[in-house]
Amino acid sequence: MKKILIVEDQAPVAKIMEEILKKGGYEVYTAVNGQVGIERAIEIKPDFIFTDIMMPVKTGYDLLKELRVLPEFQTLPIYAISAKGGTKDAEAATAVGATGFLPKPFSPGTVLELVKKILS
Amino acid sequence: MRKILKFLNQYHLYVLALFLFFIILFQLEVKLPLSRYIAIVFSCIVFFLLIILIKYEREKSILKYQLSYKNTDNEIKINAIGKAALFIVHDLKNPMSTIQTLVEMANTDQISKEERIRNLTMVYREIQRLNDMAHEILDFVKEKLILKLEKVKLDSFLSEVCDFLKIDFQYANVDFQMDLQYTKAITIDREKVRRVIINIAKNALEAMQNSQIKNKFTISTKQLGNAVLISLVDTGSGISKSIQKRIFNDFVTEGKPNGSGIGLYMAKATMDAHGGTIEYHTEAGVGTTFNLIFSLEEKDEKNINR
Repeated sequence: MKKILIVEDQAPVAKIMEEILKKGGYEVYTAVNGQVGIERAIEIKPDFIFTDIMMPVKTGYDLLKELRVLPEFQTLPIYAISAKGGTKDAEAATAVGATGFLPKPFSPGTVLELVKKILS
Repeated sequence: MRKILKFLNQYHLYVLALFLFFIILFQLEVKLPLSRYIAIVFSCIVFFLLIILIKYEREKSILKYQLSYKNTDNEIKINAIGKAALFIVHDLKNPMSTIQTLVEMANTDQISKEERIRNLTMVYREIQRLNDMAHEILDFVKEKLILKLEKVKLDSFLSEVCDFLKIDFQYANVDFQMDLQYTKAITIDREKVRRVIINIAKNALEAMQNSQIKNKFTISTKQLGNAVLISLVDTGSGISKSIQKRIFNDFVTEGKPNGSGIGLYMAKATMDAHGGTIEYHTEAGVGTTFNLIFSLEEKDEKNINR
């Protein structure tokens, strides 16, 4: 079963994503901020990461910068998710290594389709 | 002498121009009757006075504008709210996007009845969060904090508030403890005190994310003579020394990616309006305790200026 890590500080958002992805047949892990996200990623070696941008302790940008320098995370799909849906945020996330950007709100179908497409 | 120097300093160009005018007249050996000289000097004096008067009026009107701008509390607040708007909007967007996704999920046949009920409970919770934010901003901008006092059974009230908070604490892997010894009713504004507790708890949660240990948050109540004490204790990183003295000022925030700096300011205003007290003890790496003290003396409907 493919592993997906959700790094998100807002419990409701993480819970919804977890529910959607579990129904899609994935093994889902969550992390409450960028720092915990980096530790969990190294520990579980996920196949896909969703990371929020604005988080306490370490942001999504920090997570991207720190993971992308590690050999095992250089090609891993990491999608940034954010309530700030602007092009600038998407560009900033891509500049530090995000594979793509998923603006909030997202529909359950979009999330599943995206993961299926990337992981197939 | 100082006044003359000051005058010359301010109007030296005009004095110089007048001086040159007389030199030219003498150089050209223009013979004018004394009355003409007097008329020229008199017109120059009037000219000077006019310039001084215009400058004075202009400075006075600028000062008046600056004073009116600086002295209106509400204008400062609204201006500052504009600066904090980005953070507030971001905070509002999260529950809104959650509601949108949950409603979409509830609108399919693929979920069970239990899941639908659970999702709708989450929708209700998110709407409550939006409602809290909207009321907090409105209370902040208003000049008066008006309390809607009612008798509230403290343990049931706090259990309800804790139910709302537990999801976030469980998600962040923080142990949530309750020790509600005081079970009688107290007279408070239910919604405003609820927001005080949620704000302090949210700050505590933010402070407990940077540690490797299993963190704990405890909410307890007990009677202290003629008052009731609500204690909120966390095992977080503590409040940074740089903001400790200003913690109850508006727009003071640190370490939170979307902090608007309104929460603790409103907590203090709410406690003051209740005739109560808010105090805190903090230690770096050990944690922070916030104490809310409510007097048990009967109080009338209050309408207190902040």
